[in-house]
Amino acid sequence: MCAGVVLLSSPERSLARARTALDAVAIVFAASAIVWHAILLPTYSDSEATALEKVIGGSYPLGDLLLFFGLAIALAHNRRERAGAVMAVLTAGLGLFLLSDLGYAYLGLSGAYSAGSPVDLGWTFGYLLMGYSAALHAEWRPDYAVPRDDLRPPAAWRQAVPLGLAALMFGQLILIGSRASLLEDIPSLILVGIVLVAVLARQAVVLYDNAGLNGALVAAGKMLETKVRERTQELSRLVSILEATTDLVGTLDIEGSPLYLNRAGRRMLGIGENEELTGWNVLDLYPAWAGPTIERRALPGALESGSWQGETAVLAQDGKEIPVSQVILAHRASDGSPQFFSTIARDISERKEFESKLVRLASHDALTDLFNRRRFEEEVERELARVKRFKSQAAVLFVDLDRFKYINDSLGHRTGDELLVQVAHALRGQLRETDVLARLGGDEFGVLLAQSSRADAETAAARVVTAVRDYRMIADGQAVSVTTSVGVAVAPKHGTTVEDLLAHADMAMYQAKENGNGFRLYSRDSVTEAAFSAQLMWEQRIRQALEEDRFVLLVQPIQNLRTGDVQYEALLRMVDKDGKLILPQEFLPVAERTDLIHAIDRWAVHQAIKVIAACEARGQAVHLEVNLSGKAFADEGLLPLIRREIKSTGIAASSLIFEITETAAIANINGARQFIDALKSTGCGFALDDFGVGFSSLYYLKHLPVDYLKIDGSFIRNLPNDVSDQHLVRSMVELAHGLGKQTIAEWVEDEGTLELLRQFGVDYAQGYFLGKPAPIDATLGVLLPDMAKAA
Amino acid sequence: MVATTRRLTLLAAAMAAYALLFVSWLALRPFGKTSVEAMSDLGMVVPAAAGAGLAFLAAARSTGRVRAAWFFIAAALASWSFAEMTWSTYELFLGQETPFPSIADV
Repeated sequence: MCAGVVLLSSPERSLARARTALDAVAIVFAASAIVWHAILLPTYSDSEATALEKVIGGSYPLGDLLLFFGLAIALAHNRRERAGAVMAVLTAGLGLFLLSDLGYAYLGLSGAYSAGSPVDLGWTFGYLLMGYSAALHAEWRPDYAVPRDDLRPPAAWRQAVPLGLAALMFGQLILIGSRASLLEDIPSLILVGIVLVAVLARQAVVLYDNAGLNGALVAAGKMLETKVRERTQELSRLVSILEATTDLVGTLDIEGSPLYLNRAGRRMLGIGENEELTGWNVLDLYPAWAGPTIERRALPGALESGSWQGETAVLAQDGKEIPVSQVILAHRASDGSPQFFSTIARDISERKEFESKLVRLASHDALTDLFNRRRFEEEVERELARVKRFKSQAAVLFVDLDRFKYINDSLGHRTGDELLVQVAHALRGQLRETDVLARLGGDEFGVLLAQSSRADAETAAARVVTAVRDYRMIADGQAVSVTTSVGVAVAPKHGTTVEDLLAHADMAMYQAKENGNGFRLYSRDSVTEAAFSAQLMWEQRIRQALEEDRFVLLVQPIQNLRTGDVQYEALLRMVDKDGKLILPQEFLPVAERTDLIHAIDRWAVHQAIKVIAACEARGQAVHLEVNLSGKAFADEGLLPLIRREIKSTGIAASSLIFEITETAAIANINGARQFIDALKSTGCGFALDDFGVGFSSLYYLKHLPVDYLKIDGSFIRNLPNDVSDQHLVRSMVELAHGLGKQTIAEWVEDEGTLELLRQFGVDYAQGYFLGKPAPIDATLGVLLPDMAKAA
Repeated sequence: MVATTRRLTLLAAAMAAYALLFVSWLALRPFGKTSVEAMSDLGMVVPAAAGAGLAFLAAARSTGRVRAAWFFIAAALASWSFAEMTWSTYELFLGQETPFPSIADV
């Protein structure tokens, strides 16, 4: 029984176990001393029982005492509910046993016991309770261990127990001593001695235990201090990252009051670095239109799914709205209750601006801010529907500036652009509010005169011609003037579809230009005649020029922006009889409509190879880009000619780089691909010209094995001032490099543009700023590395 | 859980009934002095033996230290029931006053 009780009741820690054991010893022996002295001693001294009988009879209640108090002390420890209940029932059983044994010892030894006395009840009920405690255990199987983390100090009364016992024992000694000599009751002296020794030992154990605990406490305190310091450092590192980031980072409590806002966030919202956030609500930081989204969608959404993400705008203190891309996270405690929100918001003003610009670009001309051709055609279509429905009339004017290419070439693209903007302004001044003005491309403008008769249209055309003629623009200190040719077509007489009406207005304009008389109303016969004769005339001139070898190649430097090396593009010009150079735009359209283009392509290639051979003969390596027409793939003789000439002259094939426009390549993608493959197999390079304006699918680009992409000049000339152009050029460079191709930028006209191109990683640059087209002898005869600056 | 609670209730009821029977037997003395002696002796063998059985069951259903504890408690109850039996044998069958000290005291 004793073993069972000890096993059930021992606490986990060894020092606590020793303390409990000493407590038990002290209590049991104190009780024994009292029972001995008060009950057994008087009975025994009167009894005639033998010494053995006395020892055995007395051992029953003393054994019970040991068990009962042992268990009672264990129970006094902090036990869990069910373990406590089992032990309480067991203790109660033993308690009844103790009472009966005491009673029997008293009655039995004095001979007063007989079967059926109340003493029997204690034993019987004791057995029943002990059995019941076993049954409880069998059903519940509770855990008797004292929980490890339960290190609460023992209750104060437990500290007082041993001292109380010691006092009690001294009291008994005094009591015994007051009746007789102490030596007459040796057992009492032994029992009292044991109790006092146990109490002293117990206090020693407690002192030792406390010293150990104190040391552990000091060590734990030091460790805690170190940990706190480490965490503080870590936290300040994290905060410094948050403070350094350029995005808004903040936290909100669950009610929506801001708790923290980093430096970037304060700057974005115009809140001072040290300004308190108390009293703010998150909705104060959003414009009125965005508030409901945050309140009803973003915060509940974050709570529901953990995070919310979207585009909205925040409201700065100065009332400015800043578009942001925002993420809101809801943070929960380990029990799942929402704790706080955190958020990151990125300023996307630049992107939003870019997007709205792109949207505008889809229907507007970037330079003049007029409608573009597509939008103009839509407007004409709408007006034509009205004409049909209301049987009214409308007119289209096709306005083309004369000699605009000359202005562009002589005064530069920038002056040309400026002129276009001012002319657009002048035109607008001549039109009614309801008239639609658009830039159709290059130097062509379109005007839609709604609800206008032929007479109205002619009056408007005359006004336009006069207004442009009288207009003067000052550029580089000199007055620039320009004239226009205007073609007029009236619906429904000259056409009922957009295509017809525009084509007829175009033809009328062409005729007006031929005649040099301002404006012209469309008339079928005269226009076809004029166009035909013009075509014939050009054919004649080209044929003659070929026969008389009146073509010439100019070269324009292309600078490698990394190494500074220079290569060249060969530019074709036709030389008029009077020695004037004619630009390819003038004669190539006619040439492409006939077989003359093949002869021109071959001439250019032949000439370029000769130039390279001449340079190489002088020991001068040169890379030359030659333009081929869109019809070159169809010329079956061209490839063999190129191979033959490369072989016969012995030039390095890599010196020769062919250029073809994106539009031409896409028009015949398979032909282009085969042609490019064949040329590349000979070792020549290949460049895709005018990249970006052909509206080609990027899918094609993947399949064209070209080495260079020449970014169209229209993206470059305004680069320093046009953010969307900057985005586009950057994207094109990234795209090209991703595909393993190099980029060349055309129309570079100033230092600012060149600097931007360098930043964007463009590989080559070409333009007036780096060198104008110049005769071959003048250029290649004096190839200098600082050619760019000289030009 | 329900089964557990019910079993414990039934056991408690059975024990209470036994206790009531025991008390009333000793108080009312239905068949004279001998019957009281018989109840006083044998009446204690039964709960001690039952307690030993339950404690063995408790040990069987436990492991480790707790199992050992209940095993010792079971052994104690078993030895008590043996002691009660020895006592009864002396008193009821041999018809003599139980000697003191005797085998029962062991």
